[in-house]
Amino acid sequence: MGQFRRQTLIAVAACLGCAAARAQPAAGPMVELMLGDGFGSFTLVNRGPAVQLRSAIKVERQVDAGWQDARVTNFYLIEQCTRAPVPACITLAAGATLRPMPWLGNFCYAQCPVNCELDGPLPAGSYRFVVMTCDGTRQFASPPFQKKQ
Amino acid sequence: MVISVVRGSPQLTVVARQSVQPPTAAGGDLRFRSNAITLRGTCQLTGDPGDNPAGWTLGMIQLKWISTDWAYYRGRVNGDGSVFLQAARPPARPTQSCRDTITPGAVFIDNNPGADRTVAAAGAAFPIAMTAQFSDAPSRTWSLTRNNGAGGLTGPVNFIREAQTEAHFCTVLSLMSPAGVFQHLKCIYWNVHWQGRFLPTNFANINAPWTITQTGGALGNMAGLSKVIDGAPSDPRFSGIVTTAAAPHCNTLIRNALNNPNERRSNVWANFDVRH
Repeated sequence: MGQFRRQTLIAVAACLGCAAARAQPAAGPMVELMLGDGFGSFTLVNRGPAVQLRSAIKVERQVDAGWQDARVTNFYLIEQCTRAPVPACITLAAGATLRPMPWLGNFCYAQCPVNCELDGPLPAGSYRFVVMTCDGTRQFASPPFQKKQ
Repeated sequence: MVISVVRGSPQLTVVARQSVQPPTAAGGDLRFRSNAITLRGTCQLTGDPGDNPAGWTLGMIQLKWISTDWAYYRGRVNGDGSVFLQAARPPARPTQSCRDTITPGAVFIDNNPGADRTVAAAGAAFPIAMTAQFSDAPSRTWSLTRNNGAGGLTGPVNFIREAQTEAHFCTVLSLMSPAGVFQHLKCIYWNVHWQGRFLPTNFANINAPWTITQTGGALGNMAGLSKVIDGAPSDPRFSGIVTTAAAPHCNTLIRNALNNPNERRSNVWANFDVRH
């Protein structure tokens, strides 16, 4: 199991494209993703107004100089495992904090007990978490972290 | 001479044989887990000087062709009823056969990036050694409890009493040309089975230990593995979906089936026909 590299936690708000970035007012959504101590854990803090976020969390892997979707599924903005269906989007109130259940490092059994056929751990490397606004216009990324084999 | 496989070079090796772990009850779930199978495939490509090997790809293709997934729940007393959940028959599971990848629509196994395939590079000198390796550890999870009302949301609490899972796979070592033509070199069949009966030692606290009895005889809790077979699988139950673009995606099928199993309920401890 890999571990996070301990470091100063800096929020990265990445825009999906220059046009989208220009369209965002200065007071737009500003969500900070801070890595936690244990592998796969992180916290969201909403530094801006209330925002609707997609429940599904993306995991991206650094490949060369860029970031690629690591194809992780069943990883959501939920603080507890539940058998209830996860809504497509959630609202994060202004100033609110959310601590999702950690990523376990797998493709399919990513967070909570789930039934998978093919699964497996992702390879060692540099990763980051990405959450997106419900309308898809903004995304917020965590600082990169290392996963060991 | 066109680019081709060196005669006698394809090998499919079982690096680690799969095994099943005894069922466990923990964290509100009944868990069937296995220790991973690891398969490694190799072959060599040859060609004439000047032939371009770029894009030739060696990988593994995995088909699931038998699924058994049912669970029987019953209340603490006869009057609390019972529920049978069937996740391996329509409509919960529309079809048995599927292709097993992380990415829906993918053909080659893709859960071991950097090692699950070899893509030949332009200018590589012949013969070219190609390898592909992956591991797979199927598992299954059932909730320990389910309410006896519609959808499991209301009514008396029922406790999982019996469950069975069987998953049968065929894994194919295959070479794909840059034009997308597949040459199936070797294949192997393997499976995992779990079956058991379960009883809480404390109905008021399902986190207390459960009494777990493995059932099904010699085939109830086991892992099987065939010999390595030359060429492509010929079984008509899944030979048609080895590479077809529209093949059902196993992870999607199992997620949907287990999230919305076929449900039969009774007001008493009923005997259900687990075949349907």
